Amino acid sequence: MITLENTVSKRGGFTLKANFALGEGRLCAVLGPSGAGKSSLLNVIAGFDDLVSGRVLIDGEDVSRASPARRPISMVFQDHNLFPHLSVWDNVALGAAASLRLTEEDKSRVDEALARVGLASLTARKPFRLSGGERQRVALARVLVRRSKVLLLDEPFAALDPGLRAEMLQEVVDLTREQKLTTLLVTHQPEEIRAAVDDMLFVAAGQVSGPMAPAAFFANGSPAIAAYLGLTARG
Amino acid sequence: MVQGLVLCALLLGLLPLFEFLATQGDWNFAAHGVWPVVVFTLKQALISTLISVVAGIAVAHALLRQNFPGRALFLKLLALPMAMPAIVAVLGLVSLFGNSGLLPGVVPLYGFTGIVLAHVFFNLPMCARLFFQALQAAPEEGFKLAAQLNMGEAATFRHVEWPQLQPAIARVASLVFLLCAASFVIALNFGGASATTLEVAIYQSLRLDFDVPRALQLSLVQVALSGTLIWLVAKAFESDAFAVSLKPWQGFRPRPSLATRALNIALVCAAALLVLPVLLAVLASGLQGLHFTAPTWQALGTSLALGLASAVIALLLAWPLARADDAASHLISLAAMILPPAVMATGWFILLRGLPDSWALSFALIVALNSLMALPFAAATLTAGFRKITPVHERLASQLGLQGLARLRIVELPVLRPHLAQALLMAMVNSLGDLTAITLFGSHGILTLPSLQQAEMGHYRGAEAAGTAALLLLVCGALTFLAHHLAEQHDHA
Repeated sequence: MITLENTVSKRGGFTLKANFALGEGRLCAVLGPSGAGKSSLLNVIAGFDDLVSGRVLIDGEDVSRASPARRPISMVFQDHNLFPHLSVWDNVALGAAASLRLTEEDKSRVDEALARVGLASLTARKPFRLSGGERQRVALARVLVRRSKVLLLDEPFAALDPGLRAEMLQEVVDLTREQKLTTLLVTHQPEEIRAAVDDMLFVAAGQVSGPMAPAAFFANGSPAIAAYLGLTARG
Repeated sequence: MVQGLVLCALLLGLLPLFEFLATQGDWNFAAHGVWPVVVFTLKQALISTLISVVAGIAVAHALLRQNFPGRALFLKLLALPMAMPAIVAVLGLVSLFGNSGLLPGVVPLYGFTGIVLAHVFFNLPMCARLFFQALQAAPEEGFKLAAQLNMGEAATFRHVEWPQLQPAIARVASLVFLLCAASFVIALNFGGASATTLEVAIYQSLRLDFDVPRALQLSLVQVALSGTLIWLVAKAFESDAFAVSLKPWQGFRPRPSLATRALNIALVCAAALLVLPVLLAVLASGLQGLHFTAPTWQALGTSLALGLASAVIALLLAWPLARADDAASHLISLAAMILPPAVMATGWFILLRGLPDSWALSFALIVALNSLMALPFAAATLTAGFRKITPVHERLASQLGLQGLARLRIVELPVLRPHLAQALLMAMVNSLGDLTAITLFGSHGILTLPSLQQAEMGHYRGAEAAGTAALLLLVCGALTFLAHHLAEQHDHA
């Protein structure tokens, strides 16, 4: 479970305010116009942006002052999730030990994770020899190895074609349920993820609203959401 | 057409070499004392390169990880030695470490140490800027991932920054090695009988000893050395040294430990201590000795005329080469580096021996040599501009039927204007500060600021030399400042 208690963060001239809680095993979409603060929200949770005030709690533990490495969080980006000079196996193994000095148990965890995402046969490959979808699967395998409680996904499938996006989304849904993760997924395709997610957060002008159920989000009468969904009458 | 012109100049320089090979075939390099010169040239270039590259990486890394007040100013300071004529730096170092300098005897200035120190003064800041540029390309996500995976500073460097740095090292090191191996002004002033580079030895054989076979033997070695290195360096010229972002970093970077922060600050201070004292020494002694006698005005006028003429010709040559942007054009733009000035001048000198010596011929040869020396840098700057005219622009222009002058005015010039201005200004700086061409071809009273300063130094008129150096530095500094200002404006646009 993750809780943001009246958090305020600043970067440059931009301020982001949030106050919400999400339960474990739940997949939440983060929606909003470009530049509204969706990625900033993930940065605050992951510890890449400092808080001005408020608290971030994971399973009741205050992690507001903890470094990114000390938070039980994994983050997957749209790109650059893998170190290009390392093999698939090593990239996943980094999730177990940053020094790559692994115990036998760690090694089996890496093998299992790779098998779980369907990449057991590609372990020796370098990232440049993988497709976009395969690269994101490697990143998900590392999430499995890290055994994090929270998974943050910053538009991870934006560069994939629709079929592959649906496949990867299902993979995320399964991981969230199996591992009892709390997953936040930044996306620009509300219709596409509508059926798969449990909750939706809406970020506009540095203010986070929600969570709300998908049905409630689409029925919401707020002018900002209507404008975002393109439902505002013109003229 | 331009390709042909540059090739012609190149071949004219090479012709006597081939003739020498075919007719005299004097292969006894040992008898002419060629090998000690080769060994010294390579040794000083290797040590200068090693120091510049290793220290350049450390300073670039410190600058990337550490945001501090004045960081943008410091990056500008690192660009200054690139604009400083070699003869001005020589005077700065003499004012500091010379016998009657501020810190006499701290560094043995004459011989190997002095040459290496001067080369490091020029090349360390350039290395730091080029490596900083390479490191800036490291993706923010890599740093976030490293922080999340609990990587320490060493592991973050190995996994995130080193992959960005690695491809740049060979290119930058080759470029620095080539520049140091082709050193002329510094080796001429700080060298001696046993401390001579190939370029200086060629000049001495040709103009002082009249030993043409030795000059040609030395030229052959120089061409072989430069030719071998040039293909490694070719890529380094594609990077635009102006493209260094001076904005403070806004994204995520891991917080350095206290010890690392102290080390970073120490590195930045050390780099500042390398650049600033030389600069201040020139300005401090020079502003007192600033004088405007008739020779000063004459030298200033000639320098500006030579600089402008060379820069315009360099630009005219660079335009079609940059526009073509293919392997052949790229190689041709580097002609003056494959065939260093002293070699090219040797060829021209031998070919033109029969012609009556005149002021106009000397002036034309100096302009030709200067424009060829400025060509690699001018072509690199314009190529960067032409690459901004994307295929989308091209398709749109073709679809709208924009051709000839209309295409130039509406599509090309708006994109290229800042690059053209930068290339022109930097080619002028290059030519204004040049002492190689004027030393090789200067006669008939052609007096430039660098040759005036050299003459004043030779006659032990230290105060006057310092004044001339300060004037040269101010003119080159103003042009460089303008070029950087244009680059930054373009960067922000």
